[in-house]
Amino acid sequence: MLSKASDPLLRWTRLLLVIALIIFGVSGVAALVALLPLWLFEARVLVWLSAHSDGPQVAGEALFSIGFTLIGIAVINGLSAQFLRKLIAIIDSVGQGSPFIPQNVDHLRVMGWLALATQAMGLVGLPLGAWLRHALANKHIFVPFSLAGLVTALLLFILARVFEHGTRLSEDVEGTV
Amino acid sequence: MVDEPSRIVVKLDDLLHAQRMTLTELAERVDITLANLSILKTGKAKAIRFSTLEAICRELRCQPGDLLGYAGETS
Repeated sequence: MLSKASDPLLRWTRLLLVIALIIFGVSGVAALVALLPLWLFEARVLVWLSAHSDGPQVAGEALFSIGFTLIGIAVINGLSAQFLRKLIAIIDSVGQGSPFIPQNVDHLRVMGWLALATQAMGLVGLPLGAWLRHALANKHIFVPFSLAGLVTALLLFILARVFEHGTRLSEDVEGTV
Repeated sequence: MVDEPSRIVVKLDDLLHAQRMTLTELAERVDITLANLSILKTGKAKAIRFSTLEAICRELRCQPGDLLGYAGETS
């Protein structure tokens, strides 16, 4: 049986996940940091937005939407980073010789809920993105619609059940002489 | 989930004593690790393979019933 150290797929996947984790972390913090100038230079931003939209009222709403979007990005990145941490923990457990452990069942369940939460955040972002595109007349603002998060969540909940059963079988085998 | 203690009693100690054999010696003869045999002897095993049972019965010249007992109430 291949261990984590000798399995190139697991080794490279883990490396990619760690890189992705760092990217999610940094961009999440960057989104929060980007809120600062919006707050500090609110008047200037409003003037700029007024010039690029249909007036001061729309500019105010756009500013609120941009702030909300940045918070949304930070939250989604936080959820994604948490998701990746759980996945890395599962990969590490393979290297330690036994992936069928109760901790991995919990990891998979939490990952399922994280995928659902991310999907929910994406659905909230849909009308917000559409409104921003309209208000700022910017065709580059696009929030894609996808139910991939829902499918991923279902897959993870099923996998959690499979791992729960596998854990019971593993415990039985361990106690068999 | 808390496992209830098993009511199956393993009488390996008595059989070893009767045959004047050590656990290490039996482990070598039946080709099972000393650790696993120790788990069986101390009643911590959850299950026993027929192959293990057969090998122990062969080496200790006994029946499965001599090795295992039931400590619960019988109706």
